[in-house]
Amino acid sequence: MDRGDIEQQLAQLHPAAFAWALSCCRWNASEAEEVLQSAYLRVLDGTARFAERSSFKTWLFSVVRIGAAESRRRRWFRDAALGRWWEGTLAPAAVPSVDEELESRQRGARVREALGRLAARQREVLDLVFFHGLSIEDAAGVMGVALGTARVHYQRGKRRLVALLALEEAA
Amino acid sequence: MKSEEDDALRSALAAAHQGDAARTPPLQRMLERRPPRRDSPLPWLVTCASLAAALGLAAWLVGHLGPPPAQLPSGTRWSFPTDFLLDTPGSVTLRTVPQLSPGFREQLLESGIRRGNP
Repeated sequence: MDRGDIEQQLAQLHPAAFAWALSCCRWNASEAEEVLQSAYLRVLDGTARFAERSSFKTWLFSVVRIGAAESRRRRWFRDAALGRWWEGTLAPAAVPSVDEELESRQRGARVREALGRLAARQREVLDLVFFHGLSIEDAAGVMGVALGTARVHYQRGKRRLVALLALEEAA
Repeated sequence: MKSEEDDALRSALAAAHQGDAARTPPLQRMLERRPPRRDSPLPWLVTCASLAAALGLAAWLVGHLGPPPAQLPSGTRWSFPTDFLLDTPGSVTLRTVPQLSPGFREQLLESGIRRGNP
């Protein structure tokens, strides 16, 4: 795959990749943008190399996921090292806006909150399968886990999310 | 049932991602290389300074505080309320060696000679 092909693929997958980065960064847009940019740079400068063992989308999503995990570790380390104290209270991940008064946006926020209460791998597999339309097998490839493990996370996450959403609607 | 559940989850996830497209930054901007953001070194400096101060204080305390007393001062003997249970009849005799007066020793030797013991 030459650079032109890669850029074309990135252009096609850009909205989906950003949505995935947002999900990996718990809808923190600025962090997601940084993670995605660093993933693109890795892809373009050859630090991350596509070996064609899976689809380009699966591979790109796994690069984004790894970048998000690194970013989370860095952020945790920075916060632990008095960063939180120094920078003052951190801004909440999702800043409510006036638009979110709308019912549909409120529902989105409720679902994001419910997703936030799932284990990270459960959230990832559900997002990959139900939003990005990947198979569980591809999701396992993105997450870097065995298919059986992904299936377990899928089943448990699904059960828990359905219960959480039912609770939300009942409340 | 399962497919209904799947549809519900699909719709829920779509709602969660609603607005993502509007927030998606232009690809061209993402591909332009920006200099890596440098984090402020101040938190690290504060951490290191705090650790150094703590170590210094610990060293000073170790140097200035004497060793703990080797034995407890007199008059601080701890006695349990149930100590009397250990005092069995005759225990005093077992703890002490009887002192024999010189006269008693002589008598003892004489009585031995009388009985025919050397």
